[in-house]
Amino acid sequence: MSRKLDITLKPVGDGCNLQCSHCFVAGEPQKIKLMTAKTLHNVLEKASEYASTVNVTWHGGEPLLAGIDFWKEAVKIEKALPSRFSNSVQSNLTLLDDEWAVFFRDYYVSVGTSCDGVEQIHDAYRTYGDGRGSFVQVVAGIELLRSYGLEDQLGVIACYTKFMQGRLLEVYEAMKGLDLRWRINPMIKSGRGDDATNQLATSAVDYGREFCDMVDVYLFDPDTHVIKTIDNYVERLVTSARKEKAGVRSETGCQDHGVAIDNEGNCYPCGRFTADEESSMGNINEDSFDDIMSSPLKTRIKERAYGAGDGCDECEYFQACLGGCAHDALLYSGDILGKDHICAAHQIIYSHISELLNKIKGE
Amino acid sequence: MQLVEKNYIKNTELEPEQAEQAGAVQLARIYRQLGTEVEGCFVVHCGNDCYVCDRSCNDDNCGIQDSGTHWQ
Repeated sequence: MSRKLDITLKPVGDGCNLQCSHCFVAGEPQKIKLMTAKTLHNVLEKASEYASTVNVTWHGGEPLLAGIDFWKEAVKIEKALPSRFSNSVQSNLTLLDDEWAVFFRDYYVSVGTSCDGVEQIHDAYRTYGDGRGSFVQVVAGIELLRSYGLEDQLGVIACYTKFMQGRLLEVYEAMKGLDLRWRINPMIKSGRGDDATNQLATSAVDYGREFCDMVDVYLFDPDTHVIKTIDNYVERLVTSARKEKAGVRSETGCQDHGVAIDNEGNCYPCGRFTADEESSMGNINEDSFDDIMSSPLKTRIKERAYGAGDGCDECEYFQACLGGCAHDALLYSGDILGKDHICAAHQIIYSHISELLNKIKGE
Repeated sequence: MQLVEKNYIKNTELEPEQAEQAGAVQLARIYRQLGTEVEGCFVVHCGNDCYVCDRSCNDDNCGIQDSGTHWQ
């Protein structure tokens, strides 16, 4: 069968060696509990029964805390199964060493990390439990990966908070200086970030407006420097139009082929839902992926892709964003079909890019 | 659900050369990555599959995915 499956795998749950104050999960060092070998086998073997292509994104918390032997066992299981597996990891890189770098190189693991480009901004909230910032260690991890030739497998996520507000173009220049491909997410009210929302989060409108300033600089920058978030906004505008012309409908990962699995085997629509036990779609030690992927919650989230989200049926950019984030809607409105609170930013940004395209075309 | 057809749907196509002439170098790059339609298929796109017809991408090195909580 030609089905595909994107698994966000949390081998140590929310456990993490950092305690970033804005994080959308609330991991702590004492919460580390490694996934059992039985659960790991069930995840990979049932995934292979369900799909011919399986992408595993190792996530957390901090997934390197699982230890390299756990990862080696995982790729050994994958290699023995008929499906085509690929692996990527989202790590803070503070635990990276030569052995990990060689492993990632040898098994073609794509590596994502979190970095805000400017040390002062990064260290304001990406900290160890004792308050020390992690910027120096993260950049050292990036350089170590580069020394093993992994620069093409590497990307970075920055987070927009009040510390970054008014300084986004400074971050832009810093990311260029570090030669990083990156994306940016606004902070969300979840996990440890729930407590810090008032202190750290900006409004969606403020985020959208400053993002547009960066769009204007980026799209006209003669230097090659990739910001995936901006590329994606343009791509979604264009591809949504092309899909409509071709009569093709699509869904996002959480609405379709995405699933997150924690260290106990509990399955959720995406990694953001894992703090909410009520959002569990089943357990991989008891259920099949056929059951999990057709759960009532998954089906309801999928309705967002067909315009069921609050306000989506009247939005001219609906087909580009496909209803936005269901988890964000649940957090801010209490309803999985409510409005994604970043919706206002999406509209500002799509409108800005559309006007820019029209200006270039002379329309 | 019948959605209202909006103007933006018709106005997103742009030749990369147009973008370059306007100085929008990165925009030109993005449009080149999005590919040119050949018999309804945009296989040049740097994703796993053509985003219109689902045919597999012809670039062995591609695979950068789009997601919110992780880079890939």
